[in-house]
Amino acid sequence: MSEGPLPLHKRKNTHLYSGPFEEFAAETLTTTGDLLVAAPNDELASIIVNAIRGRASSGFNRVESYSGDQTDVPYQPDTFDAAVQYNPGRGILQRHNPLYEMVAVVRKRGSIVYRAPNYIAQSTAASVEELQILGWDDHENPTIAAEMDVTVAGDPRDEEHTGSNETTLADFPQ
Amino acid sequence: MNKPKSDHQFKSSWRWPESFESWVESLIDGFTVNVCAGLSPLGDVRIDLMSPPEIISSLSDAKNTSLSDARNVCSDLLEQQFVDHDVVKELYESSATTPPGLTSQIDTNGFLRADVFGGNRLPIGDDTADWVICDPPWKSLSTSSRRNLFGELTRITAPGGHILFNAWWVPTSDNTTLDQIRLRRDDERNGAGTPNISYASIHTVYPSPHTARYLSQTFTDREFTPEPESLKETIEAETAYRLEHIGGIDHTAYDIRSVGPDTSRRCPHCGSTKLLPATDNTKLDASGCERIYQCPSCEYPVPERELDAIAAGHIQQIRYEHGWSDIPPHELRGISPEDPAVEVVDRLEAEPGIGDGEGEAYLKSALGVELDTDQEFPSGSTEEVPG
Repeated sequence: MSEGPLPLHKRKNTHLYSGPFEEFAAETLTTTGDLLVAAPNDELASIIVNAIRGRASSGFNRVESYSGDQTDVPYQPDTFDAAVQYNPGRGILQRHNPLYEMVAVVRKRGSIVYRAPNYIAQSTAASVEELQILGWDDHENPTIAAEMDVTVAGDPRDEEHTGSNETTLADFPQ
Repeated sequence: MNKPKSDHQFKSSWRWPESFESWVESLIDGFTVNVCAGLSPLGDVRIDLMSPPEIISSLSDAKNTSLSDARNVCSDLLEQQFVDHDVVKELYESSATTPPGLTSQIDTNGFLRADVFGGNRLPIGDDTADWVICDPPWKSLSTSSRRNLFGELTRITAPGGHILFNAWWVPTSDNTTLDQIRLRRDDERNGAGTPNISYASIHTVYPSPHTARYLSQTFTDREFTPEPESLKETIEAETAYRLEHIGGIDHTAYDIRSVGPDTSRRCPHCGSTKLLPATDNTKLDASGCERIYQCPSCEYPVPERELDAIAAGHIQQIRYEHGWSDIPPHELRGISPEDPAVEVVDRLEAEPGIGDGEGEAYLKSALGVELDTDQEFPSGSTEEVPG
């Protein structure tokens, strides 16, 4: 990944999703093994966990909920096969660091389903597989949801992850 | 005008990147209004709180902006707009202050000064623009302010027109469909390197909420382009919606053109273009295979066969066969529609369904001549579809 993360328009999908985030997460996560759900509070974490458990295709052996500081997740690297990350905080560091934490605790080839207000964090250790726009009704601020695949094993948090490429609307297929 | 408030003064987002601007330029067509225009050259009328010289002046005082860059960009715009006045030279020679007189020049050449913050009314008439572009610079705006702003954009856009809106939120309204949303990476307003995202949404304005709602409902997912090819199709869509959801009538059982706005399909007896689906016991003719429409003006049950013939230009044939006209079709075809004999016009106006003063218009209509805008046959048809 020496060239840095792909610009947005190079992702597989960029489109609109009419359902709530937990539904998107439940539809997207079809892997098995261990799952971490990180959310700002227990209630949101519970909603996401229930949605995922409610899917017939869900085959996770263990589901952990975490509602603490997402910039300092208390799990060892390569602990989970998948993770759901809901609404990391605002601010430059708070945008990227939570994703780096998820990339660290998820094993290589694992999946991360990520949600953020109106930005998308990028990591050179994770590739964005799908982008969705959520919740754009009634003059609301939409949110971004993404499915990412972890591409690097171990703890990549010391690497440089903030590279970005210029992307404009003209690059998107019309 | 109110003094600009600190939280919505023009800052550094003064023009879109070239690629985005080019894309928008490829979309717009017809009379275009650019709201919150900044230094954008797009649009026949550009509206902002400050004129370009004032914007440039403010840029010279702001951090992280370049006055020389701004002038370079602005020179393209100014050369196009003010060919008789060397404002570019004046701009280059000026310091941070705006040359006297320049503002008035610009104000009268496609720029309108207006503060659109807080729901103020735009200085543009209703249903005026074919395209409206708006890139509001405010990040934190209440829902009511967002609604007011988009309401103004909808008001000035003609039915069938479009709105391109770029912001951190996506507006909606009863009279518009949301045709597209595109992610746009916003590097200008967030220069910290984080891929922030704004949303460029394209909306189509329709004459009524029914139409917009109907078209929105026809798409199961939300990545759609519900734009009909013409406003006529839009109104037909609304007619179908009203028949089905308000009148309780299965619109698929009828030719929507006959109960919609298609003026070539009219009652052969009175000329009304606002036909209704017939009631259940008369909706088919005696043979049971032809749909019947009811004329609300004269109550003549119009068979679909006659409507097709009328649409093909044979209204006089139908009227002659029914005995409503004593002029054979071949005789009518021999009359000049531009200069008909007074006797012919009088004969036509004496026939049922053609009122006084409508003879010439009917003649032109029957002969397939396009009517002038001040002519209408029949005149004064104001019937509504069910609902």
